[in-house]
Amino acid sequence: MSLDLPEPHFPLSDVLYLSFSNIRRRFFRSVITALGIILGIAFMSALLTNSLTLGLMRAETGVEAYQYWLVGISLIVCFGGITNSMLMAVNERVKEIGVYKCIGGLDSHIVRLFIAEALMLGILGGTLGSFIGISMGIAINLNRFSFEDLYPVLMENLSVLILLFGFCLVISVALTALATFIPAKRAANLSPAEALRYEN
Amino acid sequence: MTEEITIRMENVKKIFMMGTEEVQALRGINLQIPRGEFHVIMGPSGSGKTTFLNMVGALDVPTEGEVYFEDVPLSSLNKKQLASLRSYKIGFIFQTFNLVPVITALENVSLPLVFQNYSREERKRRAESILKRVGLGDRLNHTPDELSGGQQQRVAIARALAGEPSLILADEPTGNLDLATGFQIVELLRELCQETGVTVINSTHDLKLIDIADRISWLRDGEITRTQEKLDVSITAADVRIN
Repeated sequence: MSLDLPEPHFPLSDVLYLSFSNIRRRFFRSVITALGIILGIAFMSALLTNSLTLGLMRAETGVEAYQYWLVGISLIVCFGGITNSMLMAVNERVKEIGVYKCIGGLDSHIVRLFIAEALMLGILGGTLGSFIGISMGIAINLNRFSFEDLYPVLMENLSVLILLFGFCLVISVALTALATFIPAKRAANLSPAEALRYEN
Repeated sequence: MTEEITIRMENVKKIFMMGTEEVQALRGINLQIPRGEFHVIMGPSGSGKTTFLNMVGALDVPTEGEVYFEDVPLSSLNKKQLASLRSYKIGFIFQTFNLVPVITALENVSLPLVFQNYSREERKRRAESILKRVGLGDRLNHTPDELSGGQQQRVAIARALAGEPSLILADEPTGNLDLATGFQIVELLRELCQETGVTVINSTHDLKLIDIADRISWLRDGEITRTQEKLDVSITAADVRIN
């Protein structure tokens, strides 16, 4: 004998709505997380843009190797920062996870909820960060080249710049999603009783 | 025709490991709760009330013994089936309300219906009508932090009922409320139980609930010392030494 019940559903539109509500209501926390993403991504995209521009203008000097190191390190720090704030964000909501489970939420639903939130922050932070970084990467080259020289070259290679923008956005989203997945998965795996008992 | 049994517990034991020490939270519970009954689990804190409800609500797994939900042994269900069971068959009410803080009362009540795959309009319609029934028709779009404790618990009751469950588990629903509000809340729960025919298991250490219950089980140190009809209740000094 068994109960013949349909599997619980969690439609994407509701996942997105709940994640969005959470970002809106916990705005300050979300801003801090987004700032971390913006800074890391802006730094990376500024350096890459600078390197690209120097190459396009056939300048004698290139970007020094140590600067790539700096980008790598800044990305790691950025990743650490996002993981930390996501850990806190998940921890704060373990009881809420317990409630979701009580009303039929599956583990995968809960991971989905957090990943959706991370994706929104990742896209927002990545877009702003890449935009700021690329603009700055171009702006610092105005010291070296005149605007009249620089502008046509950049316009010719607009597709490369757009590609760079896309690349930075993807990095941002991937880092944020990865940083969220680990704590979210761990919290989602708790039994509902454990999650409800959880004290922060 | 025998009466329908919502919950049957057979020798349910639960042992927690606290470090290396074993703690017996439940020491062999045997109980049958028929459909539509308002059953009160009465016991002091630490007597195993929450553990008891966790077993019945499929939130935790017994160390030994079996819980049957409408004759289905819970140990025969996998994780997804247990989630379905909780979604379609059980409503939970907690001492600390446990509403989702970032969304409105209406959205909180709609939440169980999301998992049951109702359309957006149908969810809204149902959630609205239940919230009106619990007396919050004018608070639909308030978030939990804009509601008083009693109002939050009403939202929680509405949420528990929204999915039309056959069983409601209320874990000290009055524990965080003042006396008058707490009494209103259990009265409401009682009324709704009679209207909808849903079975209610309510844990408490509040003796006032004796008046409301159909049957009362006295839980002491993980054991049910006796189960009695309301009319048979006579309280001894040992019972009152609660908390």
